[in-house]
Amino acid sequence: MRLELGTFEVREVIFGPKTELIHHRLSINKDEVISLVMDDDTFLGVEIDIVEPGEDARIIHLLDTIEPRIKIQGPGGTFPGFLASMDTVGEGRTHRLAGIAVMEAVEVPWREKGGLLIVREGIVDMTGPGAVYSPFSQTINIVLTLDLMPECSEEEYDQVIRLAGLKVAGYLAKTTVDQTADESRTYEIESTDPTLPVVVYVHQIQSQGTYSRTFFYGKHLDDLIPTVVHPNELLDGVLVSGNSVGQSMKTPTWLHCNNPIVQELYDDHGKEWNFAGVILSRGHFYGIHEKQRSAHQVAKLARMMKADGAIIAWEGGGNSIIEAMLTVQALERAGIQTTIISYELGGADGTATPILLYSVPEADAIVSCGTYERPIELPPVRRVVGGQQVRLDPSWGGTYLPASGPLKFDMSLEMYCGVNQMGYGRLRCVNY
Amino acid sequence: MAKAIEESGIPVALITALTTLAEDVGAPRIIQGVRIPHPCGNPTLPSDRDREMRKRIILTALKALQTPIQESTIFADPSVLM
Repeated sequence: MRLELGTFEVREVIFGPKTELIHHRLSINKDEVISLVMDDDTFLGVEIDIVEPGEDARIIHLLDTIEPRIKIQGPGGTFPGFLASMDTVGEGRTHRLAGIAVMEAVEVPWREKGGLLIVREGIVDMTGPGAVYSPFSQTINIVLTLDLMPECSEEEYDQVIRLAGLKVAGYLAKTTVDQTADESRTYEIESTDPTLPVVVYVHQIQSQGTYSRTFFYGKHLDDLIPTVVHPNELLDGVLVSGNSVGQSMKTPTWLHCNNPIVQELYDDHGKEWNFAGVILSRGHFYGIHEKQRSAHQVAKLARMMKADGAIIAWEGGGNSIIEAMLTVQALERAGIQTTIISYELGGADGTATPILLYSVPEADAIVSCGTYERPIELPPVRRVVGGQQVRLDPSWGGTYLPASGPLKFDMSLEMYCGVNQMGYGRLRCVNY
Repeated sequence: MAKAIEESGIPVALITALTTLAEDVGAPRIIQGVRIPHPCGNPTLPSDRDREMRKRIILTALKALQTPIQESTIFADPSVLM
């Protein structure tokens, strides 16, 4: 499988009479975007805002974030199962709009008090101390603030919000058709050097039900038995996120397409290692046998791929670390050296126990991607996009605070992708 | 908690879906429960079968309480394996 990915750098986004991309400037016809979204009568209204890096602004109520991509040549289309057919993607030519993100901001009604699978507050600060927590303080964000028709089912809301974001991303990516990319790169892993070790990447996603799902070619992965995915497929958007129950530790669609671990594995493919592919697995199973099944199936697939080494990143929190750690154990016992990426607990100063909710003796190579257990203070901002009030504490029925701030949190759980286990972020720890 | 109660001389059987986690923290007698939301039974089964399963889990726990142990030990009724 060979995929040529053409990157178009966007340096400015404006509203204008025509949706077009000219010299790194993306102009958007607002009315066309509005009619595209409002085509679905589940929405009562939509606001569209452009929010820039460094702006004194805060985006709240965030759900998914998407990078505009479009298939130019080859089978299928980007975001298959939602915007395109079931044809296997990952070949031909695809275009992407880099430096921007389409975001869905929605105050989804809280119909139940508490529970784990409830949409939680997601915040991006574009400047100030909160900005380092989210990679999306660095992108120009096109935020769709969606107003929902009351009385619809949770499943309807979940699906239509996802489609709205994807449709707008697909629409914006069309501006690159017939244009020459700033940069093109060919991705393939088929030519290998037999003297190098074989490495696989284990991508453990979250998919438990409405608002907490990940989709593969449009199909939710709630009952996923581990399967093998070509990394080129990820570049074409086969994984779409519908997961908004843990905002700091989630993988939005943008990150499924721009996974830094996958990028690194491509970069040194054929030089340092042979990148043999991606094993997709699911965490958060409710039974130990389901967790063990997942771990052992991952190890089996890795052996069939003749892996010498594996890297695991896992999405979400809580009991999902058990699948991740059991997978480390199963891989190591199969003779495959494994590294796991995880956030750590440890309380405000990082010394409280436990550091990890669960571990295995075989986990002897762990990369930390930060912690959400430190308090955070967000200063007031001039502009708020996505809503007026942040919504916290679902288990208490909701606490509402003016989103313009200042805001103080005991933990940084609301900071969008703050401890994402892809390790995509700007926070780092220095020993001194 | 299970550990602390056991140390005070009262035998403890902990019913849990996540036996690995219980083992990790050194819980004494670990009884294989069904799943995290319903460790002591399985509401997806017809009610008479669920009742039978609940009975088996409790009986496994009671039997475990009478079994002397040296270290963390998992007790599982085979019907819970699914």
